[in-house]
Amino acid sequence: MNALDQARRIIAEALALPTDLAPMDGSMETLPEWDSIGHVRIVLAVEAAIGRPLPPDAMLGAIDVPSVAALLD
Amino acid sequence: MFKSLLRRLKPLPRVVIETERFTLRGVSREWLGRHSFRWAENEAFLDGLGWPPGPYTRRKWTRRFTRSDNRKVFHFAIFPRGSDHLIGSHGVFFTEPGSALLYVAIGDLEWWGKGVVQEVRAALLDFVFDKAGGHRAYGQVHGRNAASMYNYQRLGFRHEGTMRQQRLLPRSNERVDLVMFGLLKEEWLARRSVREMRPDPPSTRNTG
Repeated sequence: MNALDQARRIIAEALALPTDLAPMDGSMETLPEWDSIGHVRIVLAVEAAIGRPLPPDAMLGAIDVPSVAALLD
Repeated sequence: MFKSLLRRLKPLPRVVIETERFTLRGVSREWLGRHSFRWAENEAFLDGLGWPPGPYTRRKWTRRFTRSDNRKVFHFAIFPRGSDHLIGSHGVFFTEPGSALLYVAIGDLEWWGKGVVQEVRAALLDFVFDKAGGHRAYGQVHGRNAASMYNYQRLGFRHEGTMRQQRLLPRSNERVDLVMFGLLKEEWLARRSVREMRPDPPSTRNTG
């Protein structure tokens, strides 16, 4: 699975979206489910996937599918 | 000293703000300490603020809060509208003329993830900039508090810098960064005018 698809899956699971993959253009602005708790879940899932904690700058950059994918790369 | 005692005994000016779902009431730190003491044993709550674990006496707990005067230093107690159940508090401290430091603490975990901070902070930013003479609002978040960073980002605060390894988290003994966020009055007014012109987005549940 490439990083984009992995990011879409992580976001969909973290936000409990009804689909397996978040939309490609899904973001903090466009997904109502992406609230503060959802954001924490996304950060924790990315940290689990990469096996290390994210620094604050990286957390701040996680705002949509491509930016989450970049953290997984 | 006598003047200081008189000032402490003087009742605070009454400040009440209503939002769609909440009533915010400016309270003294003594009031807040007394009514929020049950949060002193809540590890998730203490961790979010980076406060040390207890045990706390009520006096020690109260002294964790800055003394408020409802002129330059405000503790807003947060109640669901029509209820007297305290769910959290939001502080506004004018640390310099026109510059307001914000903090929030939602002690009732039932309200986490229900958009309280977004709704309350938006109303308090209106208060800071429209009524209290504020020019700038700012916040400081420890680097493991992703939820708090999200809340600043979503309201349009800019990341203004990171103080590396500034904060020691007392329970984990982990040294973490302190992330600084700031918002200027003109940025808030511009954001508000855009928001007022835009229809509400479709929502499946409360955000924030």
